[in-house]
Amino acid sequence: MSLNSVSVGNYLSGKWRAGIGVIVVMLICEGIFALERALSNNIDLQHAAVSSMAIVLLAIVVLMIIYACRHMLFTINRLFGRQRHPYIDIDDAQWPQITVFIAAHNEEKVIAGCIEALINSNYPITRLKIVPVNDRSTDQTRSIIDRYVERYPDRITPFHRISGKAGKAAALKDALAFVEGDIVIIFDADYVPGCGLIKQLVAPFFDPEVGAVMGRVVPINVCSNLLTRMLDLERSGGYQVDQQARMNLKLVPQYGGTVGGVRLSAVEAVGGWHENVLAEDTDITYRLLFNGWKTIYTNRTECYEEVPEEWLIRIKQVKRWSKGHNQVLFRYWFQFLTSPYLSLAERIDGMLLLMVFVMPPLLLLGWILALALYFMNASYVVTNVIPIFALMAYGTLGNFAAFFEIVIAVLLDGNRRRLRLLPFILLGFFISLFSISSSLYSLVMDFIFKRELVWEKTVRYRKELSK
Amino acid sequence: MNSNLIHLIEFIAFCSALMLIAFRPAWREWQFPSDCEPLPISPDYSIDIDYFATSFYSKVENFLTKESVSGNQQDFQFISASASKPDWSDITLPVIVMNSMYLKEVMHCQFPVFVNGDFHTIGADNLKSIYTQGKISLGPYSRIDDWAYARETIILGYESSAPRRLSSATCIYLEHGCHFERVNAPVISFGLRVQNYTVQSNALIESSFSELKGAVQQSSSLTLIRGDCEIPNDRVYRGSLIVTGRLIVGDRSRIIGDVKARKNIVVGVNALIGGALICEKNITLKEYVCVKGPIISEVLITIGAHSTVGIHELPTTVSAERIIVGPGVIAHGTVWARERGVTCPS
Repeated sequence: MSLNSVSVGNYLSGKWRAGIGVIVVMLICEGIFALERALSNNIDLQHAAVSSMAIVLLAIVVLMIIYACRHMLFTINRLFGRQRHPYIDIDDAQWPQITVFIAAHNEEKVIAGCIEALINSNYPITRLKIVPVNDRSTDQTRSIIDRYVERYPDRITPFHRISGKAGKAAALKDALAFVEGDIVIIFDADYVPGCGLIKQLVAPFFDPEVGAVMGRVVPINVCSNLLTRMLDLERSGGYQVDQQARMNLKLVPQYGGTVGGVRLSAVEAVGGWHENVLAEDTDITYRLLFNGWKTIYTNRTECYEEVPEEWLIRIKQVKRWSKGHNQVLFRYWFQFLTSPYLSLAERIDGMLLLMVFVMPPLLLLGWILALALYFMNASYVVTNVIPIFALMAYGTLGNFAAFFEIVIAVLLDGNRRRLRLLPFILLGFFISLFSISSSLYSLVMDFIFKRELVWEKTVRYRKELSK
Repeated sequence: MNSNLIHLIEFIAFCSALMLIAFRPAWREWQFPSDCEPLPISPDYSIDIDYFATSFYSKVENFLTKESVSGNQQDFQFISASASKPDWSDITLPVIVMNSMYLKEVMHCQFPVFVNGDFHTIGADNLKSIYTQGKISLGPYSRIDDWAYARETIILGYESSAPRRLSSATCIYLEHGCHFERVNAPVISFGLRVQNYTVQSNALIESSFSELKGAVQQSSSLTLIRGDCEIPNDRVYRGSLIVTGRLIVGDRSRIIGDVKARKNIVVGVNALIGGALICEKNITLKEYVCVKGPIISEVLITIGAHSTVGIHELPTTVSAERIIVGPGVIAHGTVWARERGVTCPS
C-alpha cells in the first residue's frame, strides 16, 4: 500500500468510456468547425475570438514562466542559499511516547524487513509502540506479523483489520484507536528505516508549531530498468532540491504520507483524519498549514522505497497523485488564500504547489491554442507578444528549469554519470503530461457521475519472501 | 522542389541532429549502466558523536590483550608511558600508549592516540584525535583537531580549542576562552566552577496564556500569540506557546511546556522553561536560567552565567550556528555549535 494508493472506481465499463470519449472528441471537432464557419462570416466576431484565445494563451505562458522561475529559484537556493536543518542535531532529549504505523495489505514479501528495522531502531524502547496495520491481507502477512508479536509482545501491537472502508487513509484512521502518545510516524511496509531514522523524524516535534514532518524517500530498485532510473532522477530533483529549498525559504514543504509523521493533537485540531480523500497527505499538509501549523522537511532523514518498474503502474500512480492533488485544490484553495496564519510567500508557493497538477493540461491547452491561432491567421495578435513566447519556449516548453533542478540535485547527491540519462526525462515528461491531463478529465467525470472511491494495491517487486 | 521547403527540411534535420547528440550518451548509459546503484543513505557518523572514537577503539581493542607490545606493529606505533618526553616527530602511525601518560613537554601529533589510562599535558599541545580509558587533561592553548573521547573526565585548559567532536562518558570541563563545536557528556561544565546561588523565592502567580494580548488557542495545550509577547515577572504558565514575533520571558517566571518564537527570545534571570526552547533567530538566556528541554536556534544562543540546561537523568541538546556560554553554566547532554562555540570568561 503506498502513497495515494487509492483510485476512483465504480467505473463505467471500458466500452462505455471509449464511446463517451469518441463522442466528446467529435463534439469538439464539430464545435471548432462550426466556430470557424461562423467566424469566417463575421469579421468582428473572429477578431474577438482570436483575441480571447490569445489572452488565454498569454495567461498560460505567464503561468509557465512563473513555474520556470520557481524551479530556478529553488535550484539557486540549494546551490548558494543558507541550508536549514534546524532539528537534525537533536540527539539527546526526553523523547516523547510515539506510535509507528506500518501500513500493510498483502505485504508478505516485505513486512518482516520493515518490522525488523523498527525493532533495531535506537529510539528508546519504552517510548516506541509499533502497530502493523494489516488491512485485510489475504496472504501470509498476518502470520508474519503474529510471529513478531510473539517475539516482542511488549513492543508490537498488531491491528488486523478485517472490515471497514477500503484504503490506506481509512485503515490508518481506524488504527488511531491503538495510538499511544501524541505523535504518529507512518511507514509503508516496503520501507526499511535506518537505525537513527525515528529519532530524526521525531526531533522536529519538539517545536510546538510543527504539525507534520517529512523525510526523504530514496529509490532502492534503481538499476531495474530505464523507468526506475528516470524515477530516481526525478525523486532526486523533487526531494534534494524542491522540498529542501522550500524548507530553506520557509515556504510549504509537503508531507508525503510515509517516512513522516504527524502530531495527532494538531490533526484533531484541524478536523481529524479524512478518509474520503485520494491524497490524505496533501489534504493534511494544507489543512495544517492554513490552520497555523507547519510541516517540516528533513532532507538527511532518508529511507529506501521501491519505485514502479512498469510504465502502466507509473501512469496509474501519476493519475492517482494528480487526481488527489486536484481534489485538495478544489476543496481548499479559498480557505488557503484567506488564512490569517500564512505569509505572502507561503500563500504563493502553496498555491503554485496546489496547481502543479493543473499545469500539464493547461500546457496542452496552450499548444492547442497556439496551433489554432496559427491556422486562423492570427499572427497580427500574437506578434505583439512574441518575445514572451520566445522566453516561454526557451524556459519552459522544454522544461529546462525542471531539468536544471534535476541536474543540480543529482550533483548534490554526489553522482555524475547517471546524469547522462537526462534526455530520457523528456519521455517521462510527455507521458506525465497526458496522464495528468486525462486524470483531470477523469476527476471531472467522477464529480459529475459521483463515483465511489476504491482502493488499489501497489505492486511490490522485491523477490524474497519474509521469513 | 521549392527551395524554401528544402531549407525547412535542412533546418529540421539540423535541429534533430543537435537533439540526438544529447541522446548518444543517454543511450550508452541506458544500455551499459555505469552509475545505477541506489543513493547511499547518510552514514552514522553524522548523527553518532562517538562514531570515530568507537571505530578507532574497535581497531585498537585487539592489541590491548597482547602480552607484550612494543615498537611498530603494522597498524600502530607503541610509545612507552614512562617516557615523559617522547619524540613525537618520529610518529608515522596511530599511537597506542599502554598506561597513563603525564607529559612535561609540548606535544604535536598528527595521528590518533590511544591511551590505556589517563592523559595529562602541560599545554599548547596539538593532537589530531585521542581516545583514553581514563581522564584527559590538556593544559591551556591546546588544540584537538578531530575528536577526543574519554571514559572519564575531559578538562580543556583556557583558550584551548576542539573544533570538531569532544565526548566523555562522565564529565567535560571547558575553561574560559575555549572554542568548541560539538560536545557531549552527562555533565558539561563551562568556565568557572559552579558557585552556590540562593534562588529567590518570590511568590509566583499562576497564569494562563489566554490572558496575553493576541492569544489564540491552537489546541488544548497550545497557544499561539501573533506579534511580540512579553511575559511578566514571577508568573507560572502551563502549556506550550508559539509566538510569531519576539518573546521576552520575565525574571523568575516559569513556563511548563514547549516554547517557540519566530523572532528573538530573551529569558529573564532565574526563569525556568520546562520543555523545549525553539527560535528561528537568537536566543538569550540571562543568568541562572534553567531550561529542561532542547534549545534550538537557527542563529545564535547566548547562555548566561550559572544557567542550567537539561537535567542529569534526562540529558538534552543545545544547537545553533553559534553558541556563547557564560561562566558556571552546566549542560547535560550535547552542545552543538555548527559554526563556533565559545566559553566566555565573564
